[in-house]
Amino acid sequence: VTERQYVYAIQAHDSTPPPNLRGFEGCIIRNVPWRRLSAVVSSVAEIEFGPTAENVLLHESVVEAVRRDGKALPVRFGTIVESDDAVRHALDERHDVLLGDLERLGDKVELGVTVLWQPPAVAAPEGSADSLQASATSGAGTTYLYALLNEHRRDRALRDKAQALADELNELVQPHTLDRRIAILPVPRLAIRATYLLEAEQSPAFLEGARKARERHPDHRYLISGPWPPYSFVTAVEAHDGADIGTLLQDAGRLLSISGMKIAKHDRTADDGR
Amino acid sequence: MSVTPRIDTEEVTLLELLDRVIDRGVYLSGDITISVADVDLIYLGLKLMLTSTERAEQMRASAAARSWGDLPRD
Repeated sequence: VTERQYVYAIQAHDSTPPPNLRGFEGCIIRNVPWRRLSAVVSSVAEIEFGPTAENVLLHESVVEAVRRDGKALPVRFGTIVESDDAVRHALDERHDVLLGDLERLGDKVELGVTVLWQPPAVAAPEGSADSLQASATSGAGTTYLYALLNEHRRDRALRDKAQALADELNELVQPHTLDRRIAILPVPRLAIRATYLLEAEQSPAFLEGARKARERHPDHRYLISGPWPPYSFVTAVEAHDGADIGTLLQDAGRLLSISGMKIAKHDRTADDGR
Repeated sequence: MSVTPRIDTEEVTLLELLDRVIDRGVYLSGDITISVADVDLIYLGLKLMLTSTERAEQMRASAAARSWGDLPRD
């Protein structure tokens, strides 16, 4: 088939999709096998799929439908290739990595825990804030450097508090998990953004642990989501030409905390400058 | 004084899903049709949504009170 193909998931080469499952533009879902893998695809005429709620939910519903029948890896939203040949080429290029991931993750799930807080007031850094500023008689430059240093210390103290919340959460859910990815204080309002990999049947025990953590901190908000296909645990491509969104966002978060309204204009500049 | 952000469960679920399907998942060398600019907007939407209104107001107020006269304008 020489039509463009939208790719939803990766499965073993002998997999077949649930009958009559349809994807974008109402087209039937089918598998394109290559070596020991196959790609779950459907033909598409459009070449642009905006990340709207409707589109993202359709992508996810196809991934979840094929996972009900067997192991499958979720493919990133918006992956469209030129033809069946291009699908096979893409599978061939990363065959061994994908096969390894399929074995390791194909039947696993991930759950997310995001902890929102009102960043607690941290104690003025010892001997630094007012005292240092008062003794800084050598001018604006020195005062500015002390302010930077104090800012750094406050950030450190806040980060330690967020880390403590993460440690506590880990302890409560750890027995039920296989792996995890945790961002500590990605932006000031987010103490933790964590994702855990687990066996599907461990979800109830995991949720119980996460809820315990939530009960201990009624002043924070614990947003628990999932189980999801293991999007966060597939092996990353070492270098591709897209921007590293995670880093970009961390930069954006930092800018947000520093200059509020200016973020929209300057986040891209910050990225280019690196 | 703290304002608890009102976040609808359905909205959070959708944002969590967006976070996963767009930035993660298997990468294949195909035509990735999502441009980084689109993604930025979604992510910034998420981050901004999670920043309480109160904090945003504070930042706006302090930005307005400061003099930006000597900064380059674009």
